[in-house]
Amino acid sequence: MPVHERGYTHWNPSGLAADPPWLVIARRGLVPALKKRRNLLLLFAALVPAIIKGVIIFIKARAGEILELAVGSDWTSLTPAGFMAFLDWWPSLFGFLVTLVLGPALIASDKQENGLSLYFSRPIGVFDYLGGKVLVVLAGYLAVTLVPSLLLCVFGYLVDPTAVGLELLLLTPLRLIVMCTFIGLGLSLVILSFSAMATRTVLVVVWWSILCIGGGAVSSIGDAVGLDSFAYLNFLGHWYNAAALVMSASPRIAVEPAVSLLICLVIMAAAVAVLRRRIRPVEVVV
Amino acid sequence: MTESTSCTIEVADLTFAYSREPALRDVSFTLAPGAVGLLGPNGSGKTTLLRALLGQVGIRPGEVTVGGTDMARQAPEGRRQLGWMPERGGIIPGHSGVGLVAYMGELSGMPRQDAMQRAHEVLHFVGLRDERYRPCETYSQGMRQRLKLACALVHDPRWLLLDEPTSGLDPGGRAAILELVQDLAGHKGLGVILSTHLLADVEATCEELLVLKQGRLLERHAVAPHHVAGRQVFEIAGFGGEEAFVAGLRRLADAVEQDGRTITAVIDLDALPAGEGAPSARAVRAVLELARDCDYAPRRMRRRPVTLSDEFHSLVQGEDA
Repeated sequence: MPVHERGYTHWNPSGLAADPPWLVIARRGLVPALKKRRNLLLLFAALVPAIIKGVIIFIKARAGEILELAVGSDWTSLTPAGFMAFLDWWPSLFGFLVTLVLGPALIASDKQENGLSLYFSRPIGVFDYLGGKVLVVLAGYLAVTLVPSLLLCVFGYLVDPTAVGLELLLLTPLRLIVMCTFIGLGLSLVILSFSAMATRTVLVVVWWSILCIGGGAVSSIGDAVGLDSFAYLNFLGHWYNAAALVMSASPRIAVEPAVSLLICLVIMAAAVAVLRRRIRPVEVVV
Repeated sequence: MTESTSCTIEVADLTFAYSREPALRDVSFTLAPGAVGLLGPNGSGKTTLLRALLGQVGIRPGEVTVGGTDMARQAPEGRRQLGWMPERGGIIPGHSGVGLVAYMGELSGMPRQDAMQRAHEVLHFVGLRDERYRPCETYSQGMRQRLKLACALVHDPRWLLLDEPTSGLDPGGRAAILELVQDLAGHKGLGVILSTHLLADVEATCEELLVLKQGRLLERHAVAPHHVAGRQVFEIAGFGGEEAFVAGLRRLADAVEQDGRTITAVIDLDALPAGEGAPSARAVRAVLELARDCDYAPRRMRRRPVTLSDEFHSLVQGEDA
């Protein structure tokens, strides 16, 4: 059809409110991911540990202390330390997997296709862009860690006659929110900084796997041969170790939780520095 | 439409360097809405200038304003009035055509429903109505260019900044894109800056021309008047008093070049002394009289209008000289 017959019309605004750019970017990152069967399976699988713990709590409420002897007190506990033990178990694996699925391509694919120039030709700033991207990974992380934990809090309060409402419905959820957001935000920033440094997604997957799994493996080997200093290389361990401060739990690795917190903050600052350097809407005169 | 016509682009003393060598040097101009060609050899600073208009490069020293918005201080606000079509990339994989255009609309500050509705409209306008639900990474080069144009148009900008929009297109695809650009600038009241190294694209679509070389604005003039103003190129080959004839031509013509036996002269018909007959006939007569006076015997003489290509090459070569 010829151009003059197609016609170009100017936009007549409907008057509806527009979403902030960071929310638009986050939604565009999350919605396609949620349409993938593999990712949905991951989200449902992440509920399995919570269901197991829920069943144990339910049985314990009826069978009493006998069950603790079988599965350990951490697993049956509804205290913050009990939730810490729970999160440091399978949910930490799901946390790693969900960051691995959502994070690597977020910035790398934009850079590969000259997408940054496209984004920053729009009325958005660098914080909108990064905020939206961080939110994608953070939301995924919270979905596999925080959401099952909060459901457990409510479930525990309902089935355990000894549960205290203030603890299980307010204080513990607050601690969980702080802990999961801290870890999720840190991991999001680090994987996004990797994504900003690479133009190939596969490289980010490799770097992230080496950092998370390799660091943990080296730490375990050091632990086995009596070299506690290897624990400093446990990347994921530091985040959970630092979070132990919030959850009033015992240290997760052979490093002081306060030192782990400091290391985590330095890592976050480095990740932010990398992102600020790599994601620049404005080139400056050198 | 009234608002469109009031949105001017002003650039004053803009200098920018990626490294030591400046990519833009003291560039100044003011553009009212219309179709403007941005011409220059590779590396002349065309894309950098467009990025400066978007506020994507540091605008100091200098000043860039779009519709009165200072792009150094309020770049996001100014970008609402600009639609950008990059030469390289510009397609974010993982979206359908309509999804990508709507996404760009939302990022430009449009409500979700408006952005989706508008995406359908502009995709229809650029001729991608039937392919809008296909994943954009499966699009052909021509479709990609149209999709990028749709992305640039979705938020209804006042100005379109097109960086090599016909790059990599076959003649049919190129004609289609140029037709869209002509329609937008000519009938829809949008300002268009067309950055290209293809002179024919500028001649086909633009009213005005900016020529950049090594980051400097060499020339700015209207495109159409070159065809009607009556500057003509004379290509003459002959023998005899060649030296005197060339010297005489230099007084008559704006520019004279000699390549072997062929002498090329650009004569401004409006600058010829008044006399009888049409200006072109007077020019032929003047050349022939000069040849007779110099004992030069022309064997062949051909004349044609000055093209944009002649202007561009003479400008760029003149700078080199």
